[in-house]
Amino acid sequence: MPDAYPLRNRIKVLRAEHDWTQAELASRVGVTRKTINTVERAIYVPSTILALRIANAFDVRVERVFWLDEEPPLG
Amino acid sequence: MRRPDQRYDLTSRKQEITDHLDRSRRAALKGFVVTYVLWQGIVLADKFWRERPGAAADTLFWPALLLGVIWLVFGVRYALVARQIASDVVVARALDDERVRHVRGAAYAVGFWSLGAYLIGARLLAFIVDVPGSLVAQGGIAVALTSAVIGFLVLDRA
Repeated sequence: MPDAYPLRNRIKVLRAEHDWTQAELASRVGVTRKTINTVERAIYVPSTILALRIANAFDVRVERVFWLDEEPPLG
Repeated sequence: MRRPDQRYDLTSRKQEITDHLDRSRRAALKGFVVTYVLWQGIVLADKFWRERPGAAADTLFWPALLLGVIWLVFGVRYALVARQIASDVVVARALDDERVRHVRGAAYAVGFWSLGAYLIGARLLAFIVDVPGSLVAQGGIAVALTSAVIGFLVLDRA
């Protein structure tokens, strides 16, 4: 069954690179750990504002964190 | 200069408090809805049996009263947790983030459609048996409230 939300992300990889837990990322972004968990698992599609906040927390461009299923991720 | 994202920064301690209050809020809501279902179930059974000879109504009074009191306790507990959340702006904002608002909206929709389905069912039932209006109204409140709360609890899982 195709995913309802074709938005992919590399939050888990970026968290591992920064050695952050979901709770730590949630703290930096100002949301609950659950929200980060659902965004990371592509269950919840974040708003543009939240997506930008997450990218800011990792100090990368938003396209490096999120991309559409039909497009290859930026390296 | 502060980075834009630093405005939303929660300390680890705050995140712990946030998680703790989130769990407390869920626990209070669960207790609230479970005792409400049991309480209203007994109250409705009481109303139903009261109209029959040899009614069980008198024996159901005390359990109904007890469950009503427990329900109130959970309601007060939920209000206290909500007050605690509201007292900290950062925690309150985190616990009312966009996902929670999205889940709340979906839960209201669950409540709305459940109530609609219940009313259609009650109307169809009224063609067959005589259903008192007060019973339908009481059931409607119970269906709307419990389905919305259960919807929130299910959709808020992560």
